[in-house]
Amino acid sequence: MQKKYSLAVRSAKKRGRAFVSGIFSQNPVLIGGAGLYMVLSGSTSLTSSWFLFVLVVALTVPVCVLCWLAGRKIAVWLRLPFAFLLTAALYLPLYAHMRQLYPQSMQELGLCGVLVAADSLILMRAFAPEKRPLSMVLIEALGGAVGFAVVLFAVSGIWNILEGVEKATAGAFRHARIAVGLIIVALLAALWQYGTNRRKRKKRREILR
Amino acid sequence: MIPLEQMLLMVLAAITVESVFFSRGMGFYEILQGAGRGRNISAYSLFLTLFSIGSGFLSRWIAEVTELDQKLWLLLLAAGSVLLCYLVVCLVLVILFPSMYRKVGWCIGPAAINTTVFSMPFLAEQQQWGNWQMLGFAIGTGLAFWLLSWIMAEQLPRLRHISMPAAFQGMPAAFLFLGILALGFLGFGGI
Repeated sequence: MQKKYSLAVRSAKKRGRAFVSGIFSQNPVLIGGAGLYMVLSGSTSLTSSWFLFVLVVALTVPVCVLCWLAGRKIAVWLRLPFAFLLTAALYLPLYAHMRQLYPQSMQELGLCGVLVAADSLILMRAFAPEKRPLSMVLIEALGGAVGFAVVLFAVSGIWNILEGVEKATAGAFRHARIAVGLIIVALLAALWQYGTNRRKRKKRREILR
Repeated sequence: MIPLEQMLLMVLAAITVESVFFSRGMGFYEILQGAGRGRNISAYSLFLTLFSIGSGFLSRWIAEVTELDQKLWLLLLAAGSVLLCYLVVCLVLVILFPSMYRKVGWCIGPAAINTTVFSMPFLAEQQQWGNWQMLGFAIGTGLAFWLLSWIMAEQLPRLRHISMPAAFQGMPAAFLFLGILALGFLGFGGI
């Protein structure tokens, strides 16, 4: 009984670590630039960021589950198109439903709202490289989606501050939306890397002691 | 304006002032991935151009033949066109040029299924482009992709160099570099 309990705790810890690593150490935006288009174009306001996050989560979960079920039954060269087809098929009813509920906000998202269906953030998660338990795949995908949301909301928040400054600078930042967005993401990535390096150094020192 | 002139102007616009990368922020993931692998950037760009042309023209043609309301069905048409192009290219390469498929197979999927290619029918519909303009924009986007991937492939080893501050080494420096490039490209827009 004792052994079973410790195994459950260990497995819960492992899952927790996988979720947290999706947010910090394996953040898809800061590590590889996945979902950068949504961060740069969709971070116009906190509301649009929220809707993008909802779309990403609502697509990632079923796509991951269905691709996991399909698994190795699908040839390697057909996996990416299969995931894309699934995402596009799931996107249509989701978008229609959300447009009915929040027409104004979905209108604001524009092209960015539609191109979620082909975004690397969702498609790269579709097929795990090796066979892993579904719960683990889902937790990793959710961690990645939350990691993406952290960057998205941070950029959106910084844009909110910049828009306040913009009134005094005749809209200089808004004209260079992508360039400024990339510089903000770069600074966030540097901050994240600084934190990671510091943590690694601390761990190394503890081991040496 | 004669069609060829229209097309060349769109090629120029797609590389400079209307670049999907720097004016809309699309495709940076693919650029970084392609540059990171440091091989066959030309093949990757060529496939991206082919798929952009294919998705744009096929979705327009299917909408015309089936008399569908393009605005309503554009998402499905675009997805279907991209997938059809991907399947055709894969089958042609596997059957006719298997050795070539072994060499460039890694980039066909990522080149076909990405926001840059998927956006082509939407941009054409939004901007009301004619066929020549759409062709020019797709070619220009492919050229811009090749240029950016080549610049990034050259720069990435430098951006990972030990002399860089540790916090900026690698990806943060790459983002910063792209941001400065984007600022430079703004100059084409007259800012």
